[in-house]
Amino acid sequence: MLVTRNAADLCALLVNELYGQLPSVCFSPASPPVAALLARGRSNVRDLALHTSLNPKQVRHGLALVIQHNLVFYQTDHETATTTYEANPQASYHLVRVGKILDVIDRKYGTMAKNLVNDLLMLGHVEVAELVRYHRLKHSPKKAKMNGEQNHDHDHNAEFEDEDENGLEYGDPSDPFDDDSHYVNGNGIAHETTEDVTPIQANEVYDTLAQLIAAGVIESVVATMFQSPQDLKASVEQECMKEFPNGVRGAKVTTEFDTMVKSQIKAIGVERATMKRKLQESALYEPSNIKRRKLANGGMSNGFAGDSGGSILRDEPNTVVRLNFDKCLVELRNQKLTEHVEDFVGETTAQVFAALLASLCKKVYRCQHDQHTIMTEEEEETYFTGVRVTSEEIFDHLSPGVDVSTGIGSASEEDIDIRFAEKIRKYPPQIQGSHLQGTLDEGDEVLGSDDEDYDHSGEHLKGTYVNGHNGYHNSAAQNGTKLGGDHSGEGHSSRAEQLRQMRQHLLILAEAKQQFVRHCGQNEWTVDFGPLIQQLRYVELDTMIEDNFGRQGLRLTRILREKGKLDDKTLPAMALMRKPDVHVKMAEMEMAGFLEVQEVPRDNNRAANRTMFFWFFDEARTLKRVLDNAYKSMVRCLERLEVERYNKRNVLLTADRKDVQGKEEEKLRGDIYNEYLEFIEVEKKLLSQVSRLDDLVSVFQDF
Amino acid sequence: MSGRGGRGGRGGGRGGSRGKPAPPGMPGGDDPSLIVNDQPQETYPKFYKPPVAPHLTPLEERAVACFVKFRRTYHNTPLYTHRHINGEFLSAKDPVLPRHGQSQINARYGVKNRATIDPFLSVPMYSHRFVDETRTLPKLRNTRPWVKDLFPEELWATLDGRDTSGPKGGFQTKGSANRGTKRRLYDDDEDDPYGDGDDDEEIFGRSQRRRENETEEERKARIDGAGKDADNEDGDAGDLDDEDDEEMEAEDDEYDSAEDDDGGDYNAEAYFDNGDDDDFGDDDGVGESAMDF
Amino acid sequence: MDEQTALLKTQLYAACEEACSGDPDRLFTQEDLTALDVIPPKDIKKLLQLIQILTNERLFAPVHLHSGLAWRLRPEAEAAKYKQLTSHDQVLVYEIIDAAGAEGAWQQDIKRRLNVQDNALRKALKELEAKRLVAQFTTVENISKKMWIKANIKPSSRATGGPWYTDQFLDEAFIEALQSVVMSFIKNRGSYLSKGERSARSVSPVLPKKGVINGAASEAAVKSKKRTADAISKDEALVMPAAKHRKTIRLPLPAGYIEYPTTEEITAGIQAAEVAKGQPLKQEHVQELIDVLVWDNRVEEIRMGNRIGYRAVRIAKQNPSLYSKPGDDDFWEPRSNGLTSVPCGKCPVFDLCEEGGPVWAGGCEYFDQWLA
Repeated sequence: MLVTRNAADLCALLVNELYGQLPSVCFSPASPPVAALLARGRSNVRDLALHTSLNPKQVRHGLALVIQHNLVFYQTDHETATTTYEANPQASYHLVRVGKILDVIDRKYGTMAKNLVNDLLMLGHVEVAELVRYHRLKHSPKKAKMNGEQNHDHDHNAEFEDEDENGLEYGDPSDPFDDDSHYVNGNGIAHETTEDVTPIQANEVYDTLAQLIAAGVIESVVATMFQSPQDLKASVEQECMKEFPNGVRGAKVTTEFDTMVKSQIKAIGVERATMKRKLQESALYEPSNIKRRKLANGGMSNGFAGDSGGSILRDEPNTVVRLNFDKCLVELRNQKLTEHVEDFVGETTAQVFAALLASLCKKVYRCQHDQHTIMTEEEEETYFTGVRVTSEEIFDHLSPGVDVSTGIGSASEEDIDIRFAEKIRKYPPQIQGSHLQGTLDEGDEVLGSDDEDYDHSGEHLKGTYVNGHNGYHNSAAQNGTKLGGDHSGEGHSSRAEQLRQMRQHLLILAEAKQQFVRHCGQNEWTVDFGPLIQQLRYVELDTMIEDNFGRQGLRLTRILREKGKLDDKTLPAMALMRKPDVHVKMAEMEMAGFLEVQEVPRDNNRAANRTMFFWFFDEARTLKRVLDNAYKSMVRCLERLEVERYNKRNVLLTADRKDVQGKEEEKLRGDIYNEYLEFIEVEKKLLSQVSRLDDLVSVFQDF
Repeated sequence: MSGRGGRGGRGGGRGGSRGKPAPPGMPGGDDPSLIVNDQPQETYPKFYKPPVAPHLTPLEERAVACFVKFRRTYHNTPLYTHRHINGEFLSAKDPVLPRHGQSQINARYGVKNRATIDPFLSVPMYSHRFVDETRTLPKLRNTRPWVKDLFPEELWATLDGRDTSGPKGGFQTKGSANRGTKRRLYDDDEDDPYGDGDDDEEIFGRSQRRRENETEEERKARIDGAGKDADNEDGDAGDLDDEDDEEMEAEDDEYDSAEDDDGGDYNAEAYFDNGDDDDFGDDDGVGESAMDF
Repeated sequence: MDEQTALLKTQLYAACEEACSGDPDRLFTQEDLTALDVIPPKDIKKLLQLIQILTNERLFAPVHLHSGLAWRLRPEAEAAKYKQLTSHDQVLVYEIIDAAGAEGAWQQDIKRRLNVQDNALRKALKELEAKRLVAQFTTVENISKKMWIKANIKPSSRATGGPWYTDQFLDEAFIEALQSVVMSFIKNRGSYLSKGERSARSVSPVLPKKGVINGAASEAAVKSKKRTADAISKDEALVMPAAKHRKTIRLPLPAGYIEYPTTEEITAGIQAAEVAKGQPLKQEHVQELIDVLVWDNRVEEIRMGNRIGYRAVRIAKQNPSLYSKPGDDDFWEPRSNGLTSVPCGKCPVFDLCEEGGPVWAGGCEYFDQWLA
């Protein structure tokens, strides 16, 4: 993550917004006496106290909280017993995505999964048994919740109702640690109030948790995760050094040493993934099964037999788990990519793409990696060789409500050349710096031998054309899933026909300039995330340029991006623009940092008219600048929110009273309630803007 | 991050009407039609028409709702420390006011001592019972079990709520040196928070794994020895800290008179209950009207 | 010059004329001339003599190539013009202008090459102009340059700027009009226009998908608000709204479509539409228009084997009947992102914005308007 001053401010604000003032102090470089970890690098408690004007006790309390949420790394030197702390800016930045993550988990893995993730965000790392206990305490149905839960789109206040009953005090010391037997005996809060609703069963929670761990959304925590990746490597190296009492000298020994370090680091990766692997091996927890079950029962079911992942977890109640933001980021990336397809191609195609991503990303646990990323072998394999899925797998992931017969125009058969449509590309396109224009075409040349290669399965399927499939709507309520293959009724297409139609969408995606999909083998599909995201960066950049400088500004930038450096004589002719107009536009864009200019003097006079000006597009610099602008804009939105809060402080103070919270409409006087609603509206606008800016940051940096 | 012109940089070409030709040497400077505005500009130039906030898509709507809900839930836990924005914004509006003096810092972190307490509002009042307590320190103790092994040793006492202040206050003293509040669910793994035999596979018995075999005395001695240098270094300063701290603590206790004696665990429900029993008397009737702030 | 030589001369010239009938600008090297079979193969002396005569008579114009000398044929009518020249300066100047052809010669250039006095040059040019042999013109590349060209030919398109220039000024209105013609041509030929009425029973077997429209898609479009795919997968019931909006929308064509319009077809289409009055647009000019549309992100290349076709990008966002007034075919729903929808994105005082400074988020007038 690029840590600029603005980024550091942002992290501090985010921690402050969610976890409170004291933890954020450890981050904030905003005011001079505050020694921020971000500003100062690693520090110990004494340094922090000195620089923050807090006493050590306060600092320690703050640190305890941020360690709990893994917002800092620490490293203890056992010789001196001093511990140094180091900010983990990426983890703090992830907080901006909390809302989106909860939402995407809700849709992909169900409500209970979302609640579990919510609990993990509340608790930080926590033992499995404690998490389950907490979950049941918090999310068991209660009377208050019954009327509030449904209409959350209109009034999210209603959602809070389930929190205020016991939200004030979590972990009441008198509340016994109930495992099931306790619970059944009836001393939980949930019990007294719920005749008609069954309380959440512990094994249900364990099962969902097991699914989430298997999917990688939740990961088990080991001590090494609290060390920064650099520290971890250093300490591994130190340990390894002990095996070489004579020092590491010479090529042979160095190689031995390196191999040892590598294998140790790999062992750490294995250690981290132990639980995940164990759960994945119990085949029931293949993510596809989760989905299938969800579809079948309209929710997570608890009625299946076998040695469930839940019982594996139950046997290890002290496993410590936390949310894995890397995997969440993968889910968010899928969401963003789907939005892009919807924008570029259309809605039905986007649905098909979503299904492709869902099945493709089962085994994708992170978007990016660097030298410090510790990956298991399984991960490395999927990461470097790429994963691929078949049409059938995609079809199984398709939402049953999607009508794949829509969204594509028709053309007579003689206008379609199946060899182009079904062309197979075995190798991913090269990322060609800023010249992405040519990706598609040049890729073809490189793969000359591939040209003749196309997927013939499309031809076979042609025979199965079915007419009169119009008006086909597979109702989710009726059939639950398409897998049954029992659509014999009139107006229902056969599975083969639907599959053929779905393939059409995939082919369109593969043909698109952006190359959303690569048709990588007979009936096999993959997505080259790297080049695709790179394309999206340009899309976002172009969007901003067009918005800022109009269509002509965009034209000029794109000419430069394609042609490299150009002088101001050639440019107007290519752009079909008047020379003065070009100059004005170029100067504007140069001042805003979207273009760079290079001066080449023709003689020693250094006069403007004896100088050639070459314009060019510096991608790296532009991206950096845009990224920092996005951070700064997010900071401004959050600061504005703070000011709005200050302006409405009296209203908010009242609304935050414990007897009012969750019942604002009922308890607040009319005018105050209206003011409160106004504030909620403002807050929504600002927070959603922050979230949109984060979309941009994600595309530019994290996806 | 250079390249963007200084004042009015971005406005450059748009400034328009009154201006003069570009200074020599500027790209395209030979072009007489390129006008540069050299007038001082308004604080918020009027020519810029900002966009209006877009409507939220259903997706955004849901995400924001999740965010707000989560935030609210967390803010209602005893781990949340409140923000103190008032002083900051007053001074932000008037740049002349000192922003970083001791009193500003006090305001920022909600330090309470005799000087900062409002004599009128600090008296316990009826309406206070509904206002969330302004928390300056998270209540770590007993609010939840902590997996102490994942924290550095110097924070263990802090997690237990036994932080004795001072530079080494976070280390557990002898009396409190058991595994503290870590509640055991299962007896069979007393000393092993990682459950089953996985530990045997661990690498080198990682240095992060605490020195489990060390006796308390040994550990104490090691820490004291290590800490000595530090203590000597800042000698006086450290003591000062302690004093400040104690003062604040005292004030804290005085103020938070409603807190339980048994360790200061914040229990809002008890708070309410106590309120009902105390000498504010019957407030069911009063309560309704008093809520209409 | 004996008779035989005169005959050979005429024969050589005639042979050359025939050889370059297809390409008037063809150059002849010595080998080329020998190969014409007019001169006995070994008689180089004779050949050189003939070349000399033809050059003197201005029927051959020598051209210096880096491989050696070559000659271009000059029509007799042109050659005759040299006879009107009365001074040595006139000849030298006219030679240069003649050689420059349609590109024309810059006065400064002539002066530099001939190394003559300014006065002498001006005098010669004036005399030539009086004889209607040369004319002055301006090139769009540099309006201030004094350019000369032979009076009987038109300046090259490079000098006039081609069809885009009217009286040395870029005709932006003309370009814009043509662009929208090209755009709508590409749009119409490169996408499927779904009319919305669904002919339930009469679906042609050849066009199985005709007229079937995703109700959800069009509804989302009507609201012109992005309804994301994810919103739908959340609740399948939402995908199929009870009341379906039937609108004319554009849909992408199936993969492998090979009838996307090419530059040739677009050129033909424009010529047929008779938009550009006067000079017919050549293919290269239409290519320029298309290139600009590609850079503008409105149109993209699509390879169909060896041919390159064009189609509109984001076709789903180019539905005229949904968004625009009738007739406004060039509609485009702009994309937006986090930095285009925040006041900070284009804020003129963004650099000065800082908490505690005169420009800050709390006092920001732009945020006031944004939130209003």
